[in-house]
Amino acid sequence: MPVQCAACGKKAILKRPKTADAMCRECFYWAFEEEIHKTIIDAKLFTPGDKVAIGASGGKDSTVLAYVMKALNDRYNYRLDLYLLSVDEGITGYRDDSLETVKRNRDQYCLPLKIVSYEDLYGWTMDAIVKEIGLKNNCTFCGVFRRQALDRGAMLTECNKIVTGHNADDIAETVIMNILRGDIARLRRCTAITTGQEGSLPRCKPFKYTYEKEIVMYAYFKKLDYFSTECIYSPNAYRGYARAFIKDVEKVRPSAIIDIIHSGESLSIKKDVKMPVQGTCTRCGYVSSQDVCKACLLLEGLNKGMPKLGIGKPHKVRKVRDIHGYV
Amino acid sequence: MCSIQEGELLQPKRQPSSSLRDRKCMKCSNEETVVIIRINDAFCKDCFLQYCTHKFRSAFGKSRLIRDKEQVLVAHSGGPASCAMLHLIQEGTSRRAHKKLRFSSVLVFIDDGVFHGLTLVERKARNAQVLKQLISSGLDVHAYAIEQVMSTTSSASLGLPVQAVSADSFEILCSFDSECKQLEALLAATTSDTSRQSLQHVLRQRLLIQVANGMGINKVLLGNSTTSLAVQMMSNVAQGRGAHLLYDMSFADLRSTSVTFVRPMREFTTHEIEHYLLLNQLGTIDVISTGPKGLEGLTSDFVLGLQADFPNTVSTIMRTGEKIGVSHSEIDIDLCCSLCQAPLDTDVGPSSALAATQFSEVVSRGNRQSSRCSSEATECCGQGDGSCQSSTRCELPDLRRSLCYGCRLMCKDLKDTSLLPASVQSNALQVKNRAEMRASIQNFLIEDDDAK
Repeated sequence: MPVQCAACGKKAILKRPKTADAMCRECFYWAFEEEIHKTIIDAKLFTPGDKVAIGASGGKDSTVLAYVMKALNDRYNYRLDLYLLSVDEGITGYRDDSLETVKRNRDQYCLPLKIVSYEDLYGWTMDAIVKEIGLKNNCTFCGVFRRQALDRGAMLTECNKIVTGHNADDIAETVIMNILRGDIARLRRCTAITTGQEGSLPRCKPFKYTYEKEIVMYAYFKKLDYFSTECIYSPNAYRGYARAFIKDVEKVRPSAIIDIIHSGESLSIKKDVKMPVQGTCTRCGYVSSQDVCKACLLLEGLNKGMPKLGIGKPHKVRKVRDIHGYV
Repeated sequence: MCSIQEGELLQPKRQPSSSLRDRKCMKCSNEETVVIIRINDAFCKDCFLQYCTHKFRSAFGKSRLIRDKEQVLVAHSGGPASCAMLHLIQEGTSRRAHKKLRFSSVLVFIDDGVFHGLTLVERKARNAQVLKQLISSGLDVHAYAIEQVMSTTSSASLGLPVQAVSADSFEILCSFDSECKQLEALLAATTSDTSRQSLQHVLRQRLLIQVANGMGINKVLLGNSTTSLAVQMMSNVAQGRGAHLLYDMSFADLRSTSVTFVRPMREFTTHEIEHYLLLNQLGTIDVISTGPKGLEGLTSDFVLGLQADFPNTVSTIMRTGEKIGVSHSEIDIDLCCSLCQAPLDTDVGPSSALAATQFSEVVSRGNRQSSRCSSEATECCGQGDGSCQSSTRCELPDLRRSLCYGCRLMCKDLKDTSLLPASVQSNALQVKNRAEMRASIQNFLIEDDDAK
């Protein structure tokens, strides 16, 4: 006897990773989309008339995000203006290929696309940066630059919100990472569904409670067009440990991903713990916990031929800058 | 998109690979090194033992928790940390101690053989071995069997006289047949190792509270080491118990109003404990060491594996844990979990992991029309005989509502929640009744605006 869909009783074709219920294709689509709709409504992510930039990398998460955002916007009449926003880091053999996917998505979903490149914003491509710094610390540059690049790109298209495709697995992984690294400020922030209201554009994660496996399933059954190659420069070993742990834990108890997010949401930091104060960068005016933001610092290092300048802990960086007389 | 964020690439330091043997003690600089502790600190035997004693005493000194001549219960599992703790207490209270510890200790051993699947004969042999050693310490020793937590008799007596056991009286530990059967049924109905493990923790803690209450003692010393606490913290996070980290990690666990759990070994790593035992020529008493299973075992492998490569792992986890508090400053007994007795963390609003999970369950079990309604109203206890409607037994939804997030997860793996100890059922009923009482007088209560 074929397995029946837990929702409608028809023939099931998959077992939901999140709840272990057998479901048919249609009911899975419906449940998947409905859950994201609920996340959006309950967290009051949008107001009618918002112009929303969808951070699109061409990967599975952002492709599904663009598809679902458009579908829900039409179905539930959110009245949002949706844009695709891509950052071109300038990585040959990786980003140029994935941008082709984004361009196809633009045509398939009829959404306007804006591409901002590191080269235009900072005068450096990642390929050029890797030539300077080597393969060890390059992700620092990429990560720091991307944060601002998304904001700047969104502002260029006059968007007032950014959505990213971070999923439940990513967030659980970040919770574990921040505990292992002792980063209490990020630990507190990382489970928030919306971040960065002050000084920068609000960023939301509609997939906060969506399992990575279900995103893959959705993309697979809907035959969505996405690009799946790991970045050629990405070595990040330490996050890899947390990632492997999450995968192992999920095998033992599938709900663990959400359980870790629940833990993260209900952590409260003791009142007497010192937190970094968020200010603004004295050079570019972007949010920063230091007087000069990391992006400006890294850029200064690159331009002055000492690319290692901004790498390392803030107090050590300050020391190097004092010695060389940079302000 | 690449999920690497700013700043996270500062990686922890790896283990320095230096040779250890030909170094002198870093403290007295003239004795041979016998142990390397922390990251790379070489200690000779005398300096290391002094360091241990000092660390143990200062934990009590700093907290000022235990008053002069107070009686405390020392929970002894037979494992290495318990053995080291017992030795440190004995040294600290002996006449030759420099600054004496000023409390008197009563040892308590809990026979948890049922959880390890031991036969009666094996349990008897183990109890005899452990208890003989404990009695030889000269302190009063009390012994209980974990299944006594299932007992329906008044919590104070637990069916055992409140007096120290002697060398020939521990046969009684294997005589709680009906309770033993109940516990075995409960374990058989638990479908995962992870939940069985957390059930063991919770039941042991409940029994210790009952024992301490029965003896009129309100401090229980536990032997958790830094390493085991770090593992426990990560595994608790993975089991949705993030709200209670303060209780699970801190020197003094204040979750129960009547009994405080104290963890004087929380600054000792398992590495230090091993060397402490070795240098004092002490062994561990208990021979069965089945490591943790399920999620906790997985987490243990993960943390210890990382620790081998990055020796700061355990201490960083501990430091993170120390910065985490609780959201409620005062414990409201009406809002405590009926199982683990920590404050409930389930009042979280619609945009939360808990609500998202409940919603997932509703949408994937069909019912498109009512998908917006709360899932709590439609549950049945699963008995299928209408016992949900009877008020004599605490029904599943009520029981579930009186549990914290982590204990709810555990009960999801439990086929029949009516197998839980009677005291849990009555706690849940009490929580429910108090909530109803409160609701009926709600309009006449003057609420403090800051309360929420």
